[in-house]
Amino acid sequence: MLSYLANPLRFMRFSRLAIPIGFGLGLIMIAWSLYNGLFIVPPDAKQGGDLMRAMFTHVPSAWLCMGLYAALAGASFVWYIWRHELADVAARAIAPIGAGYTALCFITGAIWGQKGWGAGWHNLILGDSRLMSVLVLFFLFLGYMALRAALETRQKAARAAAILAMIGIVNVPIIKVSVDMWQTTTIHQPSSVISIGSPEPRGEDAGMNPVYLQQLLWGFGGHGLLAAAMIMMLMRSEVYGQQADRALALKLEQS
Amino acid sequence: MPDYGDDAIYVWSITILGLALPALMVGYSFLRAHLSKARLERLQKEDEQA
Repeated sequence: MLSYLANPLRFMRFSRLAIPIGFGLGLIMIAWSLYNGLFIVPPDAKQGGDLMRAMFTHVPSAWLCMGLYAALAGASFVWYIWRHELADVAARAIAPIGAGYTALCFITGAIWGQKGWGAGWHNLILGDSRLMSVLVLFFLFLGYMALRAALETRQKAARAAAILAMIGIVNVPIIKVSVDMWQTTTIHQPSSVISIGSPEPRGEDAGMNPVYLQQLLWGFGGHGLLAAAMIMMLMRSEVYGQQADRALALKLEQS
Repeated sequence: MPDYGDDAIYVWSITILGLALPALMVGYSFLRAHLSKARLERLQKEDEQA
């Protein structure tokens, strides 16, 4: 599938169809997740009663910002090794969407923390491993975009930014394990869906109630499709931009 | 509308942000794609006229 789409012409044909489908399905899934999360599922006393309804926005954005960074690093790796131009176009398109979802995760977490922990994230951030590692992720996305904008030629910018993106991937597993393996360094609750390195939860703490998990998965799927549609739209914009640059260069050469 | 008591302001503000920020990103993506395509079409039109 990926090698099929690696051809820019095929990508343009595929994305013309995929973008409206992604937007439509994504919006339906998000609406379904929020409808159930806000109006149907019962409050969870373990997670602060009705306040836990914030997770149907916060958790999908948190999963997605890590997933988008992994995609950014993957696309950068493909460009760095095989110099495939469309991979670079994809990496460039992923960065602003990833930064947006990281900001969403951060802001919604700050509001949730204000009530749930009794303290805003601004009071906790320096001493907390989860909050700090997510802040680093946000700066990695911003750094990637700044680096691309700062260097003169496209090739130089792509090379430097790809190296940054590949090195930065080390932060993604750090975010994940920060609440499981280093529980003493964070106020954030441990993972309740997949935990790595923490003791197996027992009894009442064993895993998340499937009623909540289903809505999280609907929300994650919906935001994932929406993000994919936005990324394809930005990739199309980049392809049009490159075609316009080539046309302009030809025109200047002829004149 | 359900009554979330003291939590309502937190739950609703998070939900609204969760819709507004992605909507802004959709607008940004749409605008960029639209402007790039318009620029390319303008250049192609100028080429045809020349």
